[in-house]
Amino acid sequence: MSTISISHLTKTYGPFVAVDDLCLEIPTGSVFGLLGPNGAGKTSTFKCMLGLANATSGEIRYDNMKLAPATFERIAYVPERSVLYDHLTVAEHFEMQRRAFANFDSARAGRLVGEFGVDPRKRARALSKGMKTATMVAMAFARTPDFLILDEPTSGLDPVNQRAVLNLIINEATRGCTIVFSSHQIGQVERAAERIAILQNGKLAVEGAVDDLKADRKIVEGILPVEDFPVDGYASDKRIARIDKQGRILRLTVVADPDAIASELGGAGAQGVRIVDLNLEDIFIGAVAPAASTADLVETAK
Amino acid sequence: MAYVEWLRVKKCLTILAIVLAAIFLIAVVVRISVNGAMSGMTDWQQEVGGDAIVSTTRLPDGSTRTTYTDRKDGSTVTVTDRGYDGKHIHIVDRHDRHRSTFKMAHVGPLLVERGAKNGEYDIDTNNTLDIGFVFSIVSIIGLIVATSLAAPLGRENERLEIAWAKPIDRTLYALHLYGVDAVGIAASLAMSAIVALLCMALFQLPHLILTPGGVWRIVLSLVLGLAWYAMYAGLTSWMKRGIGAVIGLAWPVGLVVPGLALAPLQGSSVGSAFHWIFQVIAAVDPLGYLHLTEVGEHGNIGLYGLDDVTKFAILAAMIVVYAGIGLIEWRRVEA
Repeated sequence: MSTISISHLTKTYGPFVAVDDLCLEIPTGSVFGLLGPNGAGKTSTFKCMLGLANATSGEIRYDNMKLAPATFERIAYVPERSVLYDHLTVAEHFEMQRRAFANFDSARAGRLVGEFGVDPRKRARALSKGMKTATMVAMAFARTPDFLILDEPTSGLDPVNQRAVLNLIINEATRGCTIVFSSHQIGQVERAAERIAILQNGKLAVEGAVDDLKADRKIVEGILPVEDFPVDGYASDKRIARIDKQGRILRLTVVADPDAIASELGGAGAQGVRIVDLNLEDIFIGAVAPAASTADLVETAK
Repeated sequence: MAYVEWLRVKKCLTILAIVLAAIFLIAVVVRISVNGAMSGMTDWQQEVGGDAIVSTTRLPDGSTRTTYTDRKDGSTVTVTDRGYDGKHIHIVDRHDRHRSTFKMAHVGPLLVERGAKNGEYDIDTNNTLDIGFVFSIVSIIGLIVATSLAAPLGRENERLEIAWAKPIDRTLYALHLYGVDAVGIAASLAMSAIVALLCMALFQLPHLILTPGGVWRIVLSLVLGLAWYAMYAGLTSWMKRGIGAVIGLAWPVGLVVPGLALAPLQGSSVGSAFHWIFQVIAAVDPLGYLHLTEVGEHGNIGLYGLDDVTKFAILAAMIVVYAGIGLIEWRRVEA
């Protein structure tokens, strides 16, 4: 059963297609990472999910219900930029939330900002970027919502507080909260998310459970005998999804039969050939960055 | 739901209260500084009374009449004290000793009637003042407060992620904001009227009345402020930036257009065209209906010499249309 269902979501701004026929099913109580390069459509997706932007087409459902004002009692959102009222203090923001939401816990919000080192008496205009993010995170998590939508929730935070936010996310998921979050910190997503989707130019490039995605592919890497060693032959190999070459170092992303490919590479004279697991960064780069985009480091063969 | 707007209103009213308190303090200082002149009448009475025959009688209507007669020159002062209705003072002073003092006694707008003929003076204190007229005057403050509270929806556009992520229908939320600001504008009028009356009372307690025309003036002062506020909402609710410029420009434009509409431009066809354009624009400009004349008088500042009921109808229509436009535009905005 999926709690959040995104069906054929498309969002255009004039001729620009920000989100293109996106379909996602986000299971109940899961942590779902939405990844993509800048401009991939993550924030547009979030805005459409919350009705902050009107979807050009498609539908979003929460527990099989369309978004309605009452749904916001169950949804908490942390936007990517500060939307705090500059002239209000942090405490006044909490009061605003308390009046708006039945389940807002002011005491918890106070504790959270205390842990982040934010003085609740300060006005928002006096807060650093990280403190503003921390305040918005506290405002969201103090509501113990059913759905948390977090757009770059660690932006501007120091590593200690980034870790604290990740722990909050994991704890909320343990409670049964369904969490969708985006981050450019791939390591954070890898740590917290069970499932991910990677957007590229508004389209869904990759989607699935993190463990499954890692298991699907392997990296075979080795040191070639000479720098101009021909690798064109690998380009037509269906087992190889991507070839990255930097000097004598060759990295092959393989979708099948990694052992055989490693043997072949060793037989061709490569040294130190080994098979390594993919990490999320490899998956991300493989999904969104054509090899040519890293041409200063990588010689493209496919 | 409208907590932030309520804070804005509170802050605005706090600033207004400080300004009004300062005005009142200035009035107190002025009152103290003219105290000598203001007490001229008392001095005169004492001067006459010191060597005078004083007789006091109670009239059938309950008022008290005191007569001071100067034995030396026959001057008399007759004071009929009607309580809250004020005093009628009749002075017969053939020597005209205290003319200058009387003049000084007229500080403030309340001692408005005095006749001088052959050394006879009639002074009526505490003339009637229609509360509606006070509200007509303080409607300017209502407009200023409406300006400072203006564009509640446009101001939210920078943070729709907060405003629209609340469990309330957007239309209802916008109406909450409108409502809170309307209360703020009404409160500012009431505060200003009270301080205006207090300032008057420092010089002389006015005899307040409220006529049906005065009631309309009170209503007009409120709807004028609300129409001005609604106009801003209609102009700015779709904007994400540049709201301050609109708010700043609206005042000079709003004042100049009615002035241009009054200008005699009909001498040529081009002038007539401009005259017509300005007339049309002025008709939808709430400032064109500003009314500062006394109750019962049709104003000339409001361009059309309309009666108060018609002005009310026009301003009320402006509130509905402008606020409605603002609401519709705002619902189309995207974060």
